[in-house]
Amino acid sequence: MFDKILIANRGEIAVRIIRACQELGIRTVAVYSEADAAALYTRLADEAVLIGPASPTASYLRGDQILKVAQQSHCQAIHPGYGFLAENAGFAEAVIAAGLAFIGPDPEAIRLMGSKTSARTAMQTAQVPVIPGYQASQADEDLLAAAGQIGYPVLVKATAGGGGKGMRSVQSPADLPQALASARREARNAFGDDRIYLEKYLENPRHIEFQVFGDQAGQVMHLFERECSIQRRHQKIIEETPSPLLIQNETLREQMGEAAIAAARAINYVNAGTIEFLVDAGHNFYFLEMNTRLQVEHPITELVVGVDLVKWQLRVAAGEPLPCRQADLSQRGHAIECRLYAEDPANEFLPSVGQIIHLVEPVGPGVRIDSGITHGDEVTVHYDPLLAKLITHGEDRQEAIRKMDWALRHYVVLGEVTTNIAFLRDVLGHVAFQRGEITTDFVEHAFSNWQPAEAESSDLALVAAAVADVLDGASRAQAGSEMQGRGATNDDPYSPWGQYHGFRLGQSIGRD
Amino acid sequence: MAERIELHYELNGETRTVTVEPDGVQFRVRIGKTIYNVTAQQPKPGQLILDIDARRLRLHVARSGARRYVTLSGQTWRLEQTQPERQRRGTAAGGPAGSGSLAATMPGLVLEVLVAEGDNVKRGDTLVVLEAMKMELRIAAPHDGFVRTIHCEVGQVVERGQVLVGVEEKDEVFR
Repeated sequence: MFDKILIANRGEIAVRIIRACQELGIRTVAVYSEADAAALYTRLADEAVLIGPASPTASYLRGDQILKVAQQSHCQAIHPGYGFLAENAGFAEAVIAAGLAFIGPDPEAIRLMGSKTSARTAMQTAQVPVIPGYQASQADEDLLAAAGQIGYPVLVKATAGGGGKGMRSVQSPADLPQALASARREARNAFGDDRIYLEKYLENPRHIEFQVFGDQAGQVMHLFERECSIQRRHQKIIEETPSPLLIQNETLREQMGEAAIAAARAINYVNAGTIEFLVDAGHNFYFLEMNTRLQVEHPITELVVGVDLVKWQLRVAAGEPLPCRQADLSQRGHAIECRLYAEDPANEFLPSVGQIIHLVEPVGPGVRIDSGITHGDEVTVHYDPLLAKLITHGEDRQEAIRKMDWALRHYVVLGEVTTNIAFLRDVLGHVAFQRGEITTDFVEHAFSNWQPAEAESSDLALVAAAVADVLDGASRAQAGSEMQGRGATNDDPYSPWGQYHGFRLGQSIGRD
Repeated sequence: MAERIELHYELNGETRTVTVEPDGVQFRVRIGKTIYNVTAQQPKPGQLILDIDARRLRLHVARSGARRYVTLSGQTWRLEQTQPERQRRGTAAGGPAGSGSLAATMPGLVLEVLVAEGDNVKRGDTLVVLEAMKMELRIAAPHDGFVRTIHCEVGQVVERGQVLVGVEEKDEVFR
């Protein structure tokens, strides 16, 4: 087993990996940008090294810099997390060439699955069904003709893409040129590669993915499915396992599980991966893409199957075999994950920034939180808006849903930054979700122009604020003063206000 | 504290007056014509338990400067403590910030500025492309006209509400 590894990532996944390392007695090195200098994960790691300014291209994407830090701090391996360099075959190769272990699959598998078109070709060879599509040419007139052949609506997708970036849906030939231009631009910015391909747009599909795992001895297994149909603009919001559809169709689960294993075996896959499928209304399943890394939503598999996937990753990368056989695995109970985003659903889901002044996480049986944020953190524009993952596990789906609703009601994040907590509760409470009748179009159709329900009148907020201010004595500063709320009351132990005093050694005092 | 205290908050774009009068262990809180009898407990910083109208409510409260944040069961309000006679400033939120000025609706990085001062534009033309959290946002011309001023440049980090472009309608009389 490794003595020391570097985590080439940030936020909640860095925290997750550090925790698994701590349990295994592995020392950790974190890297951070200037924007993350005070982030939670940097304080949990044994060592933390500054690698650049806030922009990802100057920091978390600087593979050369990161590898150097790993070498200088005597790390034996690098865990790339998800996003950033996790699916960068060149980075994986550089790490291996430098004599370190890359905690993930071989670079060839990353490269093969990283190009969505070569992935499709590999799957067809392995006899895994793929979505009808076109990838033979980048020329606009060829694409226009192919789109007509496939039949509208079609999806323009980035060859180097993933995570919903660089995708545009096209309803008619007239819309294709702008969709191509826009998708190419987004792909160029996100992946440095503006090649695109076309796929048929399946109507009302369900997104069901399978977790796979391979070891260096050639053993490959799957750890069942995750349903990720609650999405908005191709970004996942809520995931669950088992899939409500597969609960009623064990045969389909077996077929998809076998296809997932066939797919992983076909590319000699090692370590954690996920085969994403779309399932249409006729219960036909099609390969969508493979993610050659750990997924954001891995916790729900961990709770239902009873494993620690990050520890499995570390063990397999260190040369150990998978700790059990396929037949030993089963699903118990039901788990749901809600992604907490720094966004404002009432304002077109625009990203939100600001300091987290008051944070209360729900705690209870069957409630798990994988979070990258803590009290006082500044949420900025530079990175993905994922703040935390809230996961519940119950004996059955209804119990998991009830626990999730309870947990969301008790999750407090206060500050200028807004979250999607109220929105998540509404999705959970929707009758279609309750029935498990969900497709990837559900959120956009059922929640367009969403506004939060005003269960309580705003008078309550005024009463609360006024009473708290009176108790705080802030009213004494009221008369003629511009600086409301500042002053001696900061240290008042009887103040009811949650606040952040911003004092950290080595840092300028935060705003009051 | 026997005196009546008057406080003012801006909430949802309006300035509201709240009067708090201590009455033994209770507070009598008046908002407009409504009077609430409230008892309060503060178990720990950030938590406020109010007994109001025969309900016991567990709220979380936080503040930063003049800003106040209150939440109950996932419903959150943002208020700002203010003076009664202070002019309500224009909203810093998105969309047109003044006649013809287009402001950033979210904080972000200016990726592209597609027009120059003096250019004619049509309603819907993209003027500026912003990027934030890997999302693209296009600021478009709200009406036909011409670009009067550009207040941003590629590579600049802008705040929400920051004015980016000024677009004016052509004056029909002076064609």
